[in-house]
Amino acid sequence: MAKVFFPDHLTQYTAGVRELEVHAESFRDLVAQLEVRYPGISQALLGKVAVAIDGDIIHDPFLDPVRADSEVYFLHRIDGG
Amino acid sequence: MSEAREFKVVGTRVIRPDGVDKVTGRANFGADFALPGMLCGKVLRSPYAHARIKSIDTKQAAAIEGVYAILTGADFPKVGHEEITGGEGGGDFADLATNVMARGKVVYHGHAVAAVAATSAAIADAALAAIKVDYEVLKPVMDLDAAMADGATLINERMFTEGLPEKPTRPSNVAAFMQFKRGDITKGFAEADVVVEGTYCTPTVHQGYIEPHACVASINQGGQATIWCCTQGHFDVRSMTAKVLGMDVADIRVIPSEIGGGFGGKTTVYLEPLAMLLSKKSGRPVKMTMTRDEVFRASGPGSATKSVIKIGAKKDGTITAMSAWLAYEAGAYKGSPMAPGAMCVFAPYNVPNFLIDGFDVLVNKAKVAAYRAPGAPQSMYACESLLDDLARKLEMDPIDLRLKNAVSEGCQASYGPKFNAIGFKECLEAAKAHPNYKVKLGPNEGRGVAAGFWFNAGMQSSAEVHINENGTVTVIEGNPDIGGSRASMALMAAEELGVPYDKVRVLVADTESAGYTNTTGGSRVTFATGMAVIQAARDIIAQCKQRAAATWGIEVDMVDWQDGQVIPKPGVNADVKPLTLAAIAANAGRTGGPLLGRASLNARGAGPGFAVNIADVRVDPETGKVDVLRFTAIQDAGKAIHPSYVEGQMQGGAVQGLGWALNEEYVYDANGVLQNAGFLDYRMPVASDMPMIDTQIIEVANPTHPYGVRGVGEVPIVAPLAAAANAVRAAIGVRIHDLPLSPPRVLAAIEAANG
Repeated sequence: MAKVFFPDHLTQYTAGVRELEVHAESFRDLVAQLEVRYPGISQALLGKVAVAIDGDIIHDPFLDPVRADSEVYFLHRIDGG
Repeated sequence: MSEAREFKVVGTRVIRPDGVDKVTGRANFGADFALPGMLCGKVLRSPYAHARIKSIDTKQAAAIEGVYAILTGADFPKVGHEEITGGEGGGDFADLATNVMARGKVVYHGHAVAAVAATSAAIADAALAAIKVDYEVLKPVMDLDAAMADGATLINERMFTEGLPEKPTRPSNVAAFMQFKRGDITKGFAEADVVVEGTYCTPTVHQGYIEPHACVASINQGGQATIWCCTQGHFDVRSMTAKVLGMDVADIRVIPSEIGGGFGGKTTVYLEPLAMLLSKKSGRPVKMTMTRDEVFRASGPGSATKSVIKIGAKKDGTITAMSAWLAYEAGAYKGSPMAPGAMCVFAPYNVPNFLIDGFDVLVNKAKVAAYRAPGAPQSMYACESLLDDLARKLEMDPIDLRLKNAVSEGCQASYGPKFNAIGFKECLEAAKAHPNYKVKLGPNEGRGVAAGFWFNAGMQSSAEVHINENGTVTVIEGNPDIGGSRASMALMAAEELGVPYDKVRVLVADTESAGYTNTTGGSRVTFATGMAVIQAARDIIAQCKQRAAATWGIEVDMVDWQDGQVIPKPGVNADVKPLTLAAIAANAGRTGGPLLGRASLNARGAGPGFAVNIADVRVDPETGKVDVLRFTAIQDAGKAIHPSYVEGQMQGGAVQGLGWALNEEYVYDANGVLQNAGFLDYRMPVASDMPMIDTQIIEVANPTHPYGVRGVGEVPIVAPLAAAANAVRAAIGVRIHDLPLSPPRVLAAIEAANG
């Protein structure tokens, strides 16, 4: 099960839950499962935030694979200058 | 994945292909382009920092002979609220449109209220003078304290703070709140033997690129348009201009010129939509060029900030808790780099308990733009200054204090994920061992150390590699070359294909000639576009192997690629001789047509960048002037594709950061009018102000890049602010919390300390 971590600004969707485990094979699957648990959260995730899967930051995630032992963190998007 | 390999051309210091043209004046920049029949476009700007536009009368201006078109906000389509997905500030297309041309209200001095196109600059000036604007002047809000105060004048009466735990009931100048936390902050401070706290302010600053914003736009009667402009990202110019004008991106072609600096400031649009609409109204091409005064007043500067930092530590230097209260000015529209500033502030350190509150705040200044590692220099200036005071209080070497708490591979970053391979400790150890750290200092001299961090970005890139009929190579990509990226792309293509560097040419192509590519920014080009070039070159190699195998009449798995040629594997008929890239290219027509390799990707895993700086300064006790005696920049580059250009980034970032630390600031009068909109009064460092910046590149390979590359362009500007401030603190014996450390401020601190 992948471990998913929510930053403070997303805990409004998760009733304060900051960490949970999800079985998913891709970021898309993961978001779909989160949407089932926390209706409305996908609106705040897809196209809105970046994600770090096992330490690799992905600016616009969708099909990116998630492993059973992955750690997934949602992040504010960073572009830089 | 990064491979342990011996490089043949990567890591060499070749001459950049665009260098000679740039130093001899032959290169074409934004303002150099011209078309027959072209008109001169100019902008009428607000004389007030905050005012309602009651009316605009353009009749008299329109009657002037030679005036072909006049624009006001009424000529633009309404743009709905939609988040701009690029940019950490979280901007909004509706705000972008209103920033380009005011509608109903002006919100900073220099805000565009009208534009004209005329046959000459003099006629355009006369037309601007003839436009009558009736304003209702409002009170400007010019700093964070005023903007955040109860009862503050509102810049946007419809803006409610986003991100608060409870939905606000009243509008505010605070556009957004963010909080990051870990552990138990109260317990963490209770466990500390020593607690230090400080409040730090940084001023509004400009990126200071030498080349002003400039463009030419031309639209034909069929609605097909072309823009020639200087930009860090021509695909963004296309999408932003299309959005502001309600056009289809397919109708706009953007051709980038050479670029004379950007540093994040050329990642948005100011003139392009105006020139396009003026062209549409006039039926002629229209050229617009900002004056230096306009660049300072009406392009996007870097945020002014206020930071309150608190650190608790054990006697041995182990940090137990850190807290930060960070407010960033956004300018007149929401979207400061508060979030990355908050995510960076404690990023280099293992902190079990922290709390970070961030605020994005509107003021009546030009909307901020990205500025090299946006948000990080300000917050990390505050944190790294306070760490220096903590080291002094603990009687510890400042590098040892940082080493004691430094993150390394496997540590959890304060912004969330665990770090993969990083080189922070290696940078700190290199700093401690550096000869410059041991140089004896004289009277009125001081030494400061500071660390810097930046995430670096990946994102979307495309590349094509074409093999010409003689085996030479053309690389086509879509990132304007700011820091020598043509040379870096050519080096990577040459490395993969086994050809000499000078047999590779790189074309920075326009929006219709290159695949979509994100902006040149975020320290992403050598990492992400470089990865695309490597993949495109490997596509070529795969094709060469197939064609050679077909030529020899053997299976493709019986051939290999080595040193720029296809070779038969052992066991193949001895009569089969290796085929070079040139030989395969010469025969390409008979083996399937031209050799063309392609790659497009969304790069993940841009390895974070760390830097450590050592500054030595001398302070004149009679004038307060600070001279930089030595400056040492140490940085993890992952793998330096072209070491000279990595060193150039480190040196340029150091000098920009030192300017920010020592002299640069926007100075406004009580009415919000900028008083120093020119390089004479906005004091940036010049070569004669600076010593040679010493550099040391550390190479801890980024495991997600084929060569181990991590971005290098932004982190160099993060540490110099605190390194200089800490050196001044050491020299004069008192801490100055607000930047810049200009002579009057330093002298006042010396005099106050001396009673």
